This record gives sequence, C-alpha cells and structure tokens, in this order.
Amino acid sequence: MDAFFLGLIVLLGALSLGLIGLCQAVMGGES
Amino acid sequence: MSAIAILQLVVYLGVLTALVKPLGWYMARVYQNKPCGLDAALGWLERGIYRLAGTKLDAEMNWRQYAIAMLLFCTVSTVVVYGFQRFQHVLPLNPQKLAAVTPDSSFNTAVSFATNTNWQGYGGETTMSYLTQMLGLTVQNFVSAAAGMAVLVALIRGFVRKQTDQIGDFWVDLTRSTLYILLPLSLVLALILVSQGVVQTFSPYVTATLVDPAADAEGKAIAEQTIAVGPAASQVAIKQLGTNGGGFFNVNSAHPLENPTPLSNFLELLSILVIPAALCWTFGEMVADRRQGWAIYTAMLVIFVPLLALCYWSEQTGNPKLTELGADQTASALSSGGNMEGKEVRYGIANSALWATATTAASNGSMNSMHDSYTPLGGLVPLWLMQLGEVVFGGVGSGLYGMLAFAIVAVFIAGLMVGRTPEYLGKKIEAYEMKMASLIILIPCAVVLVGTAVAVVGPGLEYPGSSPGEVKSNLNNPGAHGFSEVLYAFSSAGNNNGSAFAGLTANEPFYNTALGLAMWFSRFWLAIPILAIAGSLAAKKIVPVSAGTLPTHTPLFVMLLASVVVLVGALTFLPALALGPIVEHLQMLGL
Repeated sequence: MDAFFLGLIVLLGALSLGLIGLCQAVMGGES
Repeated sequence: MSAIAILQLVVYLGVLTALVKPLGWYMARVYQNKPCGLDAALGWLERGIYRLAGTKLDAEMNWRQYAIAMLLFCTVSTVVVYGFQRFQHVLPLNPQKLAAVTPDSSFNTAVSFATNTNWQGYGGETTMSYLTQMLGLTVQNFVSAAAGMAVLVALIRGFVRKQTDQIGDFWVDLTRSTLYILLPLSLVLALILVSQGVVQTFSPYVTATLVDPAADAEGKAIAEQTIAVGPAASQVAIKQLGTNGGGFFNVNSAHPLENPTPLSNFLELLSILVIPAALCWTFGEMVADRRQGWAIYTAMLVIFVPLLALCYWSEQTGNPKLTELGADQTASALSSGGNMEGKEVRYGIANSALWATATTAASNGSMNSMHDSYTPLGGLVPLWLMQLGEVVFGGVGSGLYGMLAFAIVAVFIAGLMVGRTPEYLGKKIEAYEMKMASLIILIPCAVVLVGTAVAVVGPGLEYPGSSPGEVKSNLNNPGAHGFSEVLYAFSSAGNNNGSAFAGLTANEPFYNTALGLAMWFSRFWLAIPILAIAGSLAAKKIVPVSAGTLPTHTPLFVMLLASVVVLVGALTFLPALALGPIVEHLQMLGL
C-alpha cells in the first residue's frame, strides 16, 4: 500500500507539472 | 438576538478591522523587502537560509520556475509527512507508543497538511505521536500557509510590474512569510494561550483518579481517566494564524486544553481572520492604491456579515419541533436558549455561530462546536461559505488570490456590459486571464460536485468489507442530513477548508483517497493558473487611467464583485444544497 500511495503522490505532482506546461502552451498560443 | 450577543459580534468585527491596517502595513514592508523591525533579530537567520538554499534576497523567477518550485516543495513535503506517520512507532517523542498510521490515512493527512487544508480523518490524541504532530503537522502549518502567501505576493507583483517575466522568488517569499510574519505572531499567540491554560508539554498523558467512579456498559468499574496532553499551544497558535485548523485534540477548539477561556476563544477567533483580512491592505499598499485593498475587504464583509447574521439567527431561534414538544428555547439569564446541541455551554450561541462562520469563510476549519448539530439553515451557512470558493477572507494568501480571480471576472463582465476592453489596476484583462480565472473558479466546483456524486452512488455510503446484506453505513443520519454530511466533506476538502460536519465516518480507504485527491487538485490546480495569470500580467504594459476605465475602488464595484461571487456560488451549488440543508429545513417546518 505504501508504494501505491507514494506513487499516487508522485503522479499528482507529475499531473500538476503537466498543468504548468498546458498553461504555458495556451499562453504561447495567445501571444 | 440579544444585545450582548450583538455586542460580541460587533466588537469582534471592530477589532478585526482595526488590525487590518497595522498588520497589512507590516506585511507589505516584509514583501517589499523594506525594514520591518525584526531585521536585526532575524536577518542573520534569513541570510543563513538563503546561503543554504543557494538563493539571495533579490533573486527572481518567471512564473513557470515559481510554480515548479512551489510544486516540488509541496510534493516533497507531502512525502515527508507521509513518512513521519508511517514510521512514528520507531521514532522518538512517542510516549504513548502509538502505532504507525495506516497508509490511506497517512496519504490523506499528508496531502491535507501540505495543501493547507488540514482535514483530519483521525483523532490527534489517539493517532499521532508528539514528533509527528510537531515536525510533521506543525511545520506544514507554517510552510503551507507561507506557500499560499507567496503565491499571492507573486500575483500582486504581476499587477505592479510591467513588461517583465519576473514575479519574485518562491524561496525568498516562503522564507520571509514564515520568518517575519507567521513565526513571530505564532510565538506571541502561543505564549498568551499558555497563560490561559492551553497545554504545552512533552510529558506522557496524565492518569487521574475519578472523584465519582463510574461503570462501563458491561458493569466494569471505571476509577481512572486518561487525560491527553502534549505540545498543543504551539500548534494551536499557527493552526489559527495560518488558516490551517487542524486540532491537536480530536474535538479541536471545543477541547478545554485547546481553548480554555473566553479570552483564548476571542484570540483564536481573531487569529482565524486577521492575516487574510490584513492581506487586503497589503495588496492595496503594494499596488500603490490603498482604496483597492479596502474595496476587496469591504466586498468580503458584504458577504460575511449577512451570512453570520443568518447563522446566528437560525441557531438562536432553535428547532420549532422542540418548541411544539414543550421545550423552552428562549434566551434567559440562566440559558443561552436556541439550539445548544453540539455547542459548548461556556461559549453559547453567538461565539459558536461566529466561529462556524469565520472558520468556513477563511479556509481555517478549526471548530469550537459541531456543525453537524446545527439547524439546517445554520449548517447551510458554513457549507455555502466553503462552496463560494474560500474567497470571503479565505486562506492566508489563497483567499485573496481567489478573490482577485473573481475581480478579474467582475471587470470582464463590466467590460462586456459597456463594450470596452476590461482593465484591472492598469492591466488589460484579455482572453488568457479569463481562461485561467475560469479554471480557478470551475475546478473546485467540479471537484466538490463530482466527488459528492461518486460518493453517494455507493462507495461513500457503506464501510468496505461489509458482508452481503449487512449495511454498515459511513453516515450517522439517513436522508437529507446524511447527504449534507457527504456534501460537506467534499466541500471542505474541495475548497481546502478542512472542517468536518461530523456524522460521517471518513477515516477509511475510499474517503481518505477521494478527499486526498480533492484537496490536491483544489490547491495546486488553482495556484498554478494564478501564477500563470501573474506571469501574463507582469509581461503587459500598464494602461493609464482614462474616462473609459471602470473604477475598482467604488461601492459599485464592491457590490459587483460580491454579486459575482454570490451568483457563481448560488448557480453552482443551489441544486445540491436543495437536496441537503434546504429540504431538511422544509422538513423541519413540516412543509
């Protein structure tokens, strides 16, 4: 179970990094 | 409403408003790197931290670097708090020899404290060692609050700066928020709380011999009582100031060793709102137009005061069904009257309703009464305040940056009405800012409603492992009130509040995981678009004020802003509220 929840935390961090990339991509598209 | 109750509420709001300017001024100086009075005492420590971290006071980042730094810091914090809980049984400062926390509860609590939510599925005194409480939870109380303040300051710099991609340095903002604002205030408050009787000790729990021995359900004599103690005052101070809310003890600030006197109650109440309120003034000072800060503060009060009045009136009026049965619910010299179920007699109706309203207006979540026992309309107020997005004061930093997102939407709507390009504080609000502001407003709504819907179609209603035909419900109540319990849990987690309605058994794998996910997305998936807005605004020119500029410090804008917040909250959540507290209210009236 520890591996599952630690993996989930890392996954959440990675998804949030992806959101940073998405926001940047949208910003690039606007300019 | 009794005169003394109204006087208490007025005094509270008066003292709060009086503190807005001095504390706001102080925080503005901290964030503008100006002398603030504590530089001589703490400057060496600040410089030492920068040397260790490899940064410096005038370092700068673009919005992506800022967001990545915040995200990495909070992700690592989550893993560390998870580790403290899983290994507390082999770590020191565990005099009660408490076992390791379960993996799902550890995940929930780690995310909860790293996101400044501080939802607690566990009972502190029966679950967490002193080390976990101090190095795990209390440290996060400081740094998660400071991270929220840092994101706000980055957004304000976005408004202030022009044609640059730099919005400050996350590590510097985190350090200065912690060192110059949260730590000194917490130290002072903790000492005052200790003087009032809040416990602060490393001693094991105390065993007291009962003066009047009792018997348990099986007739076995009970002659002793274990009284939980611990280093509570230091955690209680920051739990309030940092809008964290996680109690040292299970019943939070209803516990006599966490909130023992009327003075401790008043100071803890004041501490809930003082930093979010003062940050409005900080905002006005930093954008060089203090009227803007007062306008935001006034908009918050315009929403807060009527909801406080509704909560107090509803609780003071009590339950008409009890009146029909002959119960006397009128206030008198010897009785608070009204609905006292779940409330401490020593605080009464007014201080309980004020706490419930303040703790959910801010994303604090601490409690001195049990919201599950409130009347339907009294319980609706804290529920809806959370659903408004925690922007009526809200969390330290996060509340104001959420409100500024609503301000962007408000000027956009006003711009559409008069056919001009909307501006806010001299920055043109264009499609990108609106897209990000929309994300900020929609994400918590989606998290709350989708989470509640998933829970009530099955997984959130029954304990896992129940045998076929056996229903062990997570809910204490059926029907509308049970629905309110689930809706409240997701509203609390999905807006980073952390208070519990009670009545819902949430310390089991489904809720621990689902609420953990809700807390994560509602924190970081809002903070990231806010930083993106900061980056976008910082890159723009400042447009001079013209005849076509909508003034954003006037009563008209205050009402527009408050209306946008209330309308978005009403349109999004009224259908769900109708299934919970509203139908429960109608049932109570026998309609």
